[in-house]
Amino acid sequence: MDEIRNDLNLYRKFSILSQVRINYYMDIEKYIAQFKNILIKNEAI
Amino acid sequence: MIFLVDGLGLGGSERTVQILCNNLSEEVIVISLTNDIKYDLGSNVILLTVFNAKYPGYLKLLMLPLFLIRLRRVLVKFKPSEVVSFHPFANINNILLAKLIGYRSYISERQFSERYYGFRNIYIKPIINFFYNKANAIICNDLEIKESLIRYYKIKTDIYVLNNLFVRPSMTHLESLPKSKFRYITIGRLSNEKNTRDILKAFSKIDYNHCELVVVGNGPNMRKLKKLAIDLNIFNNVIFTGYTTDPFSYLNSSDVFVFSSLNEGFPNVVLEAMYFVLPIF
Repeated sequence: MDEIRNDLNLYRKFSILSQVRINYYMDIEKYIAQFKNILIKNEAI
Repeated sequence: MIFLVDGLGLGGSERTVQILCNNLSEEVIVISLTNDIKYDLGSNVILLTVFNAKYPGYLKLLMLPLFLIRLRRVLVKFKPSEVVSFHPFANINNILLAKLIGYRSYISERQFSERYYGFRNIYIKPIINFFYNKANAIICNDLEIKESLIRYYKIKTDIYVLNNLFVRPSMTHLESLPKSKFRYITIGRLSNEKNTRDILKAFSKIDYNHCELVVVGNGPNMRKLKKLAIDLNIFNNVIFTGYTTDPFSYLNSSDVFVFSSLNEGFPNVVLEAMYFVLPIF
């Protein structure tokens, strides 16, 4: 079990990568802009 | 803006609809085909239900003409220029009424249908091909779904990818749950496609006396899974929480997230586990 805990601690040190990735999914304004863009773009077509 | 949904029960796509509605600055009309409403909607949202009941999928298909008649009555009042729908049955209603009333239909495909329907694609594939090709545009929440629609279902309509949105959980409301052992966690509806059975089986093969498994969620397989836990002699090390409005407190107190879904569109729960810096297996 100690071995697993050590591995997890190592994982957490590199977790900055997953946090950077997750920030991408948290931008509500960007999401709504993209959503509206799809509707506008398609209307223009 | 008008959104059309099958219902707003507890699911990933329903949550996306809720987040989207509540964050739009303009007034939104949400038309739900059934009264399965579990999410709270903001003050900018008007919620209308077409049928005051909840029906299984096959019955909804049989009742399609009735849904169309009632939904048409609701939609003509608003004279919409476009309607965005979010579930397969709502999508079919949307596409048919768009042709009948004369508005633009935007549909959202949020599950990997090719894998989800399996052998049922014998009859579902032609339905999707026929209807989806008549929509004005399709919005998917994953690139793989888009590729499957083009390759497998031969869809030629414009398809856009818009990944799900993740809302940061409020850290101030997190409960500190007592914990004495190394904790594995899984979250999801307890149904066949989530495959929680395999997690229990895998858990029974490790040295489980020093750890515990938290199963967060409810669903039709709850009783079967509890019985399986008893049969595998792990019941004392498995915590079935049932449905909870606060899965984040459990995530916050866990060490490893385990995920066994056989089929997913864009699983929000994986993002949530990532947010709590849990390794995901």
